[in-house]
Amino acid sequence: MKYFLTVFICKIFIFVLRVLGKKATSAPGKLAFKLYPDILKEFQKKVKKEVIAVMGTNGKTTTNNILADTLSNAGYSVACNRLGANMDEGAVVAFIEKCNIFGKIDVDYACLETDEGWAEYIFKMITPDKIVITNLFRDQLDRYGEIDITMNFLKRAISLAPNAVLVLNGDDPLTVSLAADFSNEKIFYGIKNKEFDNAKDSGEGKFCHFCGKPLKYNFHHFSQLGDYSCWCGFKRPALDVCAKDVKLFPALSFNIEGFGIIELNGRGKYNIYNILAVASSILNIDSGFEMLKKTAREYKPQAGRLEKFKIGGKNVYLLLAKNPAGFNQSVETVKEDPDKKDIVIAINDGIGDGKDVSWLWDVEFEDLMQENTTSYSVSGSRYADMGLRLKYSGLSEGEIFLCPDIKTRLKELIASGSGDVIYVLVNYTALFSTQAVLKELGGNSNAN
Amino acid sequence: MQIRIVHLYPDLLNLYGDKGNISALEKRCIWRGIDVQITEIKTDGVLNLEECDILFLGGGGQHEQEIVLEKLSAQKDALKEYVDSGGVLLAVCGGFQMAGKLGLIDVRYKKAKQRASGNVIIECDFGSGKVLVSGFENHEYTTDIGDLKPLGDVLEGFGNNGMGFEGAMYKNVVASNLHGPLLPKNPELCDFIIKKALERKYGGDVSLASLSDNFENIASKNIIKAVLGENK
Repeated sequence: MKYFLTVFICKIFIFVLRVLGKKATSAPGKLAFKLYPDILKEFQKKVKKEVIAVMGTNGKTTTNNILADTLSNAGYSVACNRLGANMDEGAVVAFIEKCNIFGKIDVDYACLETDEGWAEYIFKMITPDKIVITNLFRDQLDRYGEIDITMNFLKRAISLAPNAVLVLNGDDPLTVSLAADFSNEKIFYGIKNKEFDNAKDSGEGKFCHFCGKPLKYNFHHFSQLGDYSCWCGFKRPALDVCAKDVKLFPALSFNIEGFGIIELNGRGKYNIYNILAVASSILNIDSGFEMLKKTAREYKPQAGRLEKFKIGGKNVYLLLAKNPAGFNQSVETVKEDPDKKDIVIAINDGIGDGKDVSWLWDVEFEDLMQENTTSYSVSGSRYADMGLRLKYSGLSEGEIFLCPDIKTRLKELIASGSGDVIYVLVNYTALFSTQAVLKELGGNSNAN
Repeated sequence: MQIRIVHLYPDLLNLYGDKGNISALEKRCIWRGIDVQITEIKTDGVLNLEECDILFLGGGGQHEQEIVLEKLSAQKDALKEYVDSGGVLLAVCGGFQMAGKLGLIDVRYKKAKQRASGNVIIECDFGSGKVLVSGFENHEYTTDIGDLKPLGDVLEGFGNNGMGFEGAMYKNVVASNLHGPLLPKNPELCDFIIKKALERKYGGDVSLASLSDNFENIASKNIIKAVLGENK
């Protein structure tokens, strides 16, 4: 009875919030827990096939959404916290969304993007059948301290799910060593050979977790991701699912060995790993690979994941990144484009961003110093810090536009910028305000 | 003139944008026509203090700092001699702790009850009047600097131990918990370090040409305003 009442009230609450134009991704979840603390346990019983938790520093939302779309395309009913609300409340809302007003729910799979810091708490209520770990990078230091703290959070969470299959990025020594303590079944994915140059690194994890010596690399793909080994015997595990023959531009495509070619309606090297994570999670599903191919072909990015706006005949790309590893990937993506481009970077120091902006100096903004960049502009609450960062990357003060008001600047660039395309790089709390400005300026987004 | 900067273990200590400190030292020399040579001592590298005018020691993860401490302990005496004879050392964040653990500066650390994390504004004097220095602290230690002079008086933030001081100065050592990174937004401090290094190397009183610090000043003012309020 309590269950039905809770779902009923929360459904109405979600409806009201939506009418008011709110996102309704977590407030109804908070209410649900208040009314019925065991509600996630209840939902677990109703999942017919698998609960899949997607964790890791970068790529969680994209991976989780491609996974959910692939399962939906395969004809399954899927609960998913699509908008990246990845704490306990977001998980509950994902299920409530799938319920009808009487609490009846038909769910084959639950795809739950899960915050590393909340995983232990959430797994006590709902135990995953599969756990995907995309990668471990340094993220928001003033929130969790160092990467060791995040790894301990994850270990405690995984130990609550001894029967879960672990789907792991084999190219990431941190992820692989994290899982070494567990005897769970493991599926490793990675990129087979050296596909592109990237010696750039944002630190951490290049030491063997077991003996402390520096790892040896045959190649790096991003940061610490690559083909590594250590004298003590630790090395990249045999890959169960691996990518080869990568093409990056104008669209991403690659071959998943033994399955075939995937073509993404989009770009971004990091999406190779996101797609491999999905491919590895659906090995037990008939026609899974065909459905993944279809999902990739029809892929629409999430807000700020190379989201494209067409405004006044110009393409404006919005790229979100929350940490140095992510930002370096954004920089790489911008760098790949041979067209003339105007670049805008907006950095905030809100709660969701971390108050400390020192990480800006760990991003290789020097790579943006290309001849085909026609202008550099900085915005956000820490626009001056970003401007300073660019100054020390080799620009003179006169070459950097300080523009706390991003709207005015974007308008100018759209009307009279000398680039053919505009790239807007933002961190977390700058995302939705910038997206709103682009829509206001008449942009049609290609995002979900 | 030439300044030789030695960056200790950038491959191990790379958590808090410390490259920015090197970049600030480098660029502010180059902009003044001072030649710069940067040597990165990586994990397997050998430190030669004879060829160093500014030594930089930053912070890193716990594990990485242990490796660095072990490596530097082997050269403790040479380091101590460098520091005692007026060698310039900038030790930031974990580097501050390590400088103490190596006995380069006489300070003691205790694990704090809780992590101090947030923006910090301190008031310093580098010989030409009071200046505000801003940065970000994120540490779990209290630091007792004994008789050493602090880097500055805390206007906002926790500082060494919550008693109103931040950092430590000893001869030509500047030690601080502040990253952000410390030097780019605080050009007076950066120039103070460059000046000390030039004076030690070439003797006499060095005066540095002034630079257009427009962006530095805006960035610094913005954060000071955000932290202390409008009227500072």
